[in-house]
Amino acid sequence: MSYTLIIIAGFLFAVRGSRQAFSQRPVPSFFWIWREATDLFLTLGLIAALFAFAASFDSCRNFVREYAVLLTGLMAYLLTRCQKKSDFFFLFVAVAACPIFPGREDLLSGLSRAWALSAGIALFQTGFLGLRYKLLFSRVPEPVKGWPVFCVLAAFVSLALWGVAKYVF
Amino acid sequence: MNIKKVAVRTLRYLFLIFFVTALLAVLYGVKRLDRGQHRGIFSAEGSRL
Amino acid sequence: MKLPETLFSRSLPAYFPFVVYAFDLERSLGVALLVTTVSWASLFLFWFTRRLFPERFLKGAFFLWLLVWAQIVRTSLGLEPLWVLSVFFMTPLSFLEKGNRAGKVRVFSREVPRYFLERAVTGLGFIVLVLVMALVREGLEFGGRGISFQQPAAMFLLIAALAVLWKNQPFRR
Repeated sequence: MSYTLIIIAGFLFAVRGSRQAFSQRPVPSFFWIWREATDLFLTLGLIAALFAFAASFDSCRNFVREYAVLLTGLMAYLLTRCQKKSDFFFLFVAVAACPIFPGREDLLSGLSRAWALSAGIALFQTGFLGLRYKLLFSRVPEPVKGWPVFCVLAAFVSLALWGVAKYVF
Repeated sequence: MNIKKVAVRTLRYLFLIFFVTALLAVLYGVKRLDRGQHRGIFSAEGSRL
Repeated sequence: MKLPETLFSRSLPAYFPFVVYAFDLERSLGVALLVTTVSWASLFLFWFTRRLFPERFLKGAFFLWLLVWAQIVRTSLGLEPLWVLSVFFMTPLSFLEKGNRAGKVRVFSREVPRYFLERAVTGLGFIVLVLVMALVREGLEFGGRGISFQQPAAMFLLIAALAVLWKNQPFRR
């Protein structure tokens, strides 16, 4: 599982993952972050299982592999609409499923990649959003407010997680 | 029920069906044109996926 | 001409999938052109046909359109569909939502040409952003002897530097 994909996904979830605007919503709780990560893992896992089930039949294996993007997208749409998730959540599940489940590996390795992605996103968001919360009480200079300081925060969290990632993922 | 509303709603659903069919037809057409020619200019080589 | 207010706030999140791709200059530009073209085509198509769709399926139709393009590009060019996230960030979707103020604007309103021009400028701005980032990255890498951009942290710091420069343009202050 690519570390860069995990970090970028965590950052995008932190800034665009909720229906509310990043600057307006209150800092999400620790519980919310991990619940979203669990939802992400379960959604990806269910798609992987359905995909593996469909690919186990000789008659539709090639069809399922050729149209993987469209089929995983449709499954993601149905599952995320049932869970009332944001548009970004749905689209991320739809597009991330293809690199995570290349289609020629077994279900277990696909699920372990999904777990790594979800846990990585949750760890990144915990660090990033926690630091962003602390920044609300600091006097950030006007020239670096907004995107500049968020990108710097993301860089530091990414470096800190790199050490953990080598042993966990 | 208002006949005009029913007619408008029916036409809208027909347009949706037409749109979905057209998209799938384009997809199938591209697949047939592309049969066997896997160019892969943007394959995962060098990317961090 | 005054640049649209949302140019940077739309282009920057749309750039992040390119950090994952880590393509060279030519391929990055190719993907940027693809993203911009699909974004313009989506906006053009769905702005003028939005009244023809049933209201509750309008957004679903848009996402199906994106998924089909993702599938077509993956089949013919072998590009993984992360670029669709860039299209999602670049394209303003407020007019697709039920009850949204933007959705109540008439399809052939007088504001439409100016609105499309702003979107066109945003798309061009995104291509310029991708080009600048690819050039700076290749320049700083010095063919493998300079700074390494293998770590996402390096790209984040580069993006932060660009954001500082954008925020502190001399004519804006």
